[in-house]
Order: sequence, then C-alpha cells, then structure tokens
Amino acid sequence: MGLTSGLLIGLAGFFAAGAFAGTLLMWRRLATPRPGHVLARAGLLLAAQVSVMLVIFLSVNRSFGFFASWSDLFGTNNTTGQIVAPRHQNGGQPAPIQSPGTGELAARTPPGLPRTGQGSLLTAPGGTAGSRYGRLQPVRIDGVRSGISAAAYVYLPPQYFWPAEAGRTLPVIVVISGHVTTAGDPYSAASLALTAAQEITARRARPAIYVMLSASAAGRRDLGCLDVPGGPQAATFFAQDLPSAIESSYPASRVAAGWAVLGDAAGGYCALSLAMAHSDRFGVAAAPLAAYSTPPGSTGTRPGAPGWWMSGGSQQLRDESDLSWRLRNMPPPPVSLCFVRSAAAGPGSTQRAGAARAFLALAKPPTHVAEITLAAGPWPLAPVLDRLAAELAPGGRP
Amino acid sequence: MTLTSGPFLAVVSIVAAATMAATILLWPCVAGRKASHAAARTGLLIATQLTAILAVLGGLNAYFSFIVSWSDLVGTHASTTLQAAHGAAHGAVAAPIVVTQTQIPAAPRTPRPAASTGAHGTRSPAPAGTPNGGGAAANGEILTVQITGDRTGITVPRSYVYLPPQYFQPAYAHRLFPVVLVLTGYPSDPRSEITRLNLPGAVASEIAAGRVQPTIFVMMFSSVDMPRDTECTDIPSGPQAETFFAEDVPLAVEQSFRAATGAAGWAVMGDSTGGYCAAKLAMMHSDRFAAAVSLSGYYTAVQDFTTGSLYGRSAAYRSENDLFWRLGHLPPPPVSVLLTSSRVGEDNYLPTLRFLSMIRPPMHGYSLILPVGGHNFRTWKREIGQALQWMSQRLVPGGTAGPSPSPHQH
Repeated sequence: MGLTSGLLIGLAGFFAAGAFAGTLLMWRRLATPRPGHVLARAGLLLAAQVSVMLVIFLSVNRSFGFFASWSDLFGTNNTTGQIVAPRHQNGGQPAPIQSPGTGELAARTPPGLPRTGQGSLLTAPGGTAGSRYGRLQPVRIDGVRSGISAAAYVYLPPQYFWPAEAGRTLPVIVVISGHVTTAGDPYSAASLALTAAQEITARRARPAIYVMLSASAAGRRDLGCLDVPGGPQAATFFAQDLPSAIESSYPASRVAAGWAVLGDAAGGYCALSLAMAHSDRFGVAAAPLAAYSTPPGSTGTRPGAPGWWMSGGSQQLRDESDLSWRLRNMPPPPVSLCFVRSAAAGPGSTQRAGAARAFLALAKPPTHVAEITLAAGPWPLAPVLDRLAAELAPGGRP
Repeated sequence: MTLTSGPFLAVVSIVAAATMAATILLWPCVAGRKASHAAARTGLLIATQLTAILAVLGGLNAYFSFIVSWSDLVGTHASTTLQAAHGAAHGAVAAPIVVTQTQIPAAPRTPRPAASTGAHGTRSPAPAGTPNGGGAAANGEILTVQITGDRTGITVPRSYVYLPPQYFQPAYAHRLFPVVLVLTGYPSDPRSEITRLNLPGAVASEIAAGRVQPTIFVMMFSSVDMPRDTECTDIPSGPQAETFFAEDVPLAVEQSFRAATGAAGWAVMGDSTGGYCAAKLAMMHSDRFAAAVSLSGYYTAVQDFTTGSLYGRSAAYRSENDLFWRLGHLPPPPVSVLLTSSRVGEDNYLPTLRFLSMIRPPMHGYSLILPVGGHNFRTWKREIGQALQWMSQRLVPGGTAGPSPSPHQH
C-alpha cells in the first residue's frame, strides 16, 4: 500500500476514530487505581494519539507531496538521474556578444535620416571627423526579450575614437522623443548630436553615448513605455533590451549611475516612469515640467476610461502607472529627476507649472529633483545635456 | 526563543506529557454517569491529542525548518508593504546588507561532504595550517545578514550568505565572484538550505574537487512578507517581491561583496516555490540572471489563502506570471534553465515535460529526472551536485577581465 494512498489514510482514520471511541467506552471500566488499569489507560491514550498523528502526517505528506514512497521516507531510495540537454542548441552557450553591423544593433539606415548643415561632420565615415566631433549612426535595436525592434540613432562622442581612451566606458543618455527625425527640432537626433558635439568639444559636457529613438519605438498604442499585461512589453524593451544591446556593442557604462533617460513632450512620461520603476538601470531622468499623473493616451482613472487597457484591467496596476501615486505610496527610488522648463511662457504655462511643482513636492530623498531652464538661441537643450552629463557618473575602466 | 529551538520543543513536549499524565490520574474522578463527566472525559481526551499533535508538529517544523521565527508565523515584521517614506528620508542611506553574525563552516570531509547537521562553530581564531581547521581562507564563511531593498522598501530580517574560501585568499583578491541566489520553498526557512540541504557543504566539496568555480551563495526565504506567500510577484499596490529579488538583492550584493555584475555572473536556484521563483525571475529578468535551477518547481502559481490576491484582479497580469503562458505568448528569453522532477513520486513530472517541450532558443531547457523521488530535501540532495556543476558551467566571474569592446572596431 502506497505511502500516499487514500486507502492508507482511510485506514489510519478508522483506527483513530476507533481508538477515540474505544477510550471513551472503556473509561468507566478502567477507573480504578489498579496498576493494570493505569497501564491500560496509558495504552489507550497512546493508541489514540499515535493513530491521530498518523492521520495528520499521512494527510500533510499527501497534500504537500513530501515523501512519495516508503523508500523515499526511510531513505533507502538512492536513485540518481542524468542532466538531459535540449536537442536544439550549441552546448547551451549564450549567444556571443555582437558588435554593430552584425547582430542586435544592425546598422541599417532607416528612411528619413535628417539632413542638417553641419551633419556631414558627424556622419562622415572614418577617423578624423569622428575623432574630432564624434559620429551619428543609425542603428536598429532588436529586443530579444520584448520582441520589439526599433530604429534608433547612436551618437558616439569624439572620445570614443581616441586611442588614449580605449577601454574606458562612457555614460549613456537615452533620448525618447516624438521628433527624432523632425529636421530642425531640438529633440531631433541631428540637433541633439550637434548640441552634444558642441558641448563636449567645448568641455561644457562630459562625453557620453547618446541613444535616440522615437516615443512610439515600442508601438503606437503604448506610448508610456510600460509593460502592458498581455500587451506590448515596452518597459522590458527600454529597461532590459536596450541597455543590454548597447552594453554589448559599445563601451557603455554598466551601472545605473551611468545611464540617463531624457524625454520630450511625447517621451517625458517614458523617461520618468522608466527611471522611477527601473532605478536599477537609469539613475537620472529628465522631462519637461509637467505633472505626469497618467501615461500618454490614458486620461481616466476608472475602468473603461481611455487607456484603461494599459493597466490590464486592474485598478492597482493603474495606480502604479500614476507617477504621483508612486511618489506618494511607494518607497522613493534612488534617482535624480530633472524637470526642463521652457524659458518662454506660453498659454496655460503657469497653471501647468503649478501642477508640476505639486508633483515635484512629493519627491523625498533619496529621490532628488531639480529644474533646468532651456537656453535661448539655436541650442536650447545645451544646458540640459550639460546637466545630465554632470549628474552621471563619469566613465571608467570596466 | 524560536519556534525550532530546543527550549520551545521541550516546553511543548512537557505540556503534552503533563496533559497525558493528568488525564491518567484524573481518570477515575470523571468516571461517573453524569453528562458533565462524559463531557469532561471527551475534553480530556481531546486535550491529550491536541497537545501531542502540537508536539509532533513542532518536531516536524524543526526538522524541516519550515517556520523558525514567531514573527514569520504571525507576521509582526515591520510592514513590508508599500511605504512612502523610510529611514532614508533624513538623508542617511542605510547599508543594504547588515551582517548580524559570522560563522566559519566545518571543513568538508572527503569523500563525504560536511556533516549533514550543518554544525558550524562560531568565529574562532583557529590556527592557520591546522589540518581541516583554519579560518575563512580555508573553509569560507557563512554570514547571517539582513537585506533591505531601496526600491521596494522590503526588509528581509534573516538571510544567509556563503562566501567560498577563495574569497579570503590573496590570489583571488581582485576577483569578482559569480553569485547564485537561492530561494526556499514556502513555508521553508532559509536555514533549511544549510541544515537540511547542506548547501554550503555541498558547494565546498564541489569547489574543492574543482568541479565548481568559487561562487557566492545568497540563501533567502522566497516569501518577503511572511506569513504571506508572495510567489516572487510584484503584487499590484502590494509588496514588490519580483523587483526585490531582481533589482534590490543583486544590487545590494554587488555593493556589499566582491560580486560579479551583470547577468553572466548571476544564477538563481530554488526548490518548490523557490523553483517557480527561480525560473520566473530568470525568464522575466534575463538581463540579471543567465541561468536558473528549479528543483521540483511548478510553473503556475496557485492563489489561495496563503497568497491572497497576487495580481490586482487582472487576468492578463496573472497570465504573465504563468510560465506556460509566457512560453506560448512572449519571445523566449536568453536564459538556460535546469528543471528537476521524478518519474515516480513528483506531481510536476508531466508539467515539466510539457514545459521543456515548449522552450525555444535562445532559451535552453535542461532536465534532471530521477526514476523515483519526492518533494523533499532528500531528493534535492541527490540532485544538488549536478545542479551546482551545471550552474558553474554557465557562469563567468566578473572583474578586470570583463568584456570591454574596443572602440576601434569600425
């Protein structure tokens, strides 16, 4: 009879009930001080106890499946097995690190690479121009974990090309923008690269690798860079796939203190939510001054509201996507949040700034908040890039 | 006095024995025909059985190290649920890992590894060069630690860190050691990894035999909110257990020890619930863990009275925590998993075969199936050596020899 068989438990239960009833039935007959009776009492009690313990042990064992057989229980089972490898693989080794142009970061030129007056300096192939101003590269990032594949631009600073700097890691600034390919926009890849090149060569900003991609890189439905339950896994793309791809292809920093994420109006929520929910990857975030209580495309906080699908039908998950709710209800993440204020006042800007400051006031250490004002003139983002580069841990020998 | 301590077990046993003795003595006093006597007889009999059951349960609990501390049983830890402000609000950032005790394990004896009772001496300045004696450089160290997660606000009051002997040897002074995070089942105290599985002893003898590279082991309870069974899940608006194990713990360990950074140096292993956790954490965070070992693990977490609501009433979020669903609906992550079961005696045998059949590259599924086994440490002890070797083959130490792409590759 098996250790876990129902019949055994039934038998034990039958004995337990019988011992219990028998003790009660015999009670009055054994109520004398005779030694034989005292012994009989002890025997009856023990029988009742042992049988009830047996029932409990057998039931617990059957329910949890601790010991499957008598040999298992008494330790006489010493069988061993062999590890069986899957049929389809090369010794189980992970894929080798791939360099640009061969794998994860394939240098395919997406259409619409912006042309700027000075862009030729940046896009010039080979040594001298690159070592002086850096280089802007179009790439494709294939997210192995999220299944999301996105076109992006990578700006490599001049230091990347200097033999003396070989082997040093560089901090990384990820830019999520609605205008990556909009010629002339400050958040376009070309303008950002030129701004960075100018600030780096003038030594106002530390060198950094810039990765620039569209806010809709992870799909047009989810613009909040969230992992939607049962839907697009944009957070996995931005917080796992992108850093792994960049780290395996460039001498990029491998710690959160060396990674920043910057968003424009379309990518601001992404930047902040990525840093707040994935502070192990991003130590610094910057976004336009605003309140960020809902992800882009989501307006309501109740079931059925636009964007409700992004929370997988859960009020609790919806709450977690509200960044002010996070600041109020979750431990403050160890990140620096920079809010970018436009120098020129537009309509409604005072009201927006008020809501934004209420949001900022919720942040407690170790979360740090700061405000940066855009510069007037042709390079409005220069102070933002300077500040982000200063906040980031400088590169070092890996 | 812990739930598994000798004094506690002694008290429970004495109460059981006293109740039995009292019943035998008082027996004649309640032998009348009155209804009150009949009731008293039944009451006495039930009392003897209950106290005896309590003693047996206490003994089983101590043997299996299910629940060691009272606070785990009744949940009186400082709240590990979401909290807006904690100590760091004053600017003082507490150390994420606090060592509360240091022990040097007994030297592994060959051919049999260290005593299965896990006898550890407290730290003593043993003379160097003594055969089988010696300090940390000879036998390694087991630290009892408290781990606090910056991001999740979760504090686990007691975990164990095994540092291999090489950690203390000058030749390895600049080595960043690979790390294995070990998670217990529910409810099973992390001490069971030492007392029942004898993991440090098994590791020490495998390292000494050259079959496993020197590795740090971090042994933790898979539940972060005892007595609740959190199943390594980021519970919506609740304890963020997944984030704790995937972000807080690795960063805390990397900050506190000479540990490898990056997925290539990290694996996660567990039994039962810890096995589900291991496979899930590796599949969801393949950027943190390169490999996972699931000893008698399952693939779909059950919600019951011990877990409470885990998924914020979202069917989609629940699906994402179902590892079968993940294999069927999401891209296979770049991780290797080793799954164990037994052809006879384990419920997860057929699910494990099904899970293995669904794995596609770049994920790789390995299996270790025993002819006969069970859901117990005796079975896992027969698998642990092979599992340790399998993990060791998939981990690379970090350190100065880390990959650094040349900037001149274009």
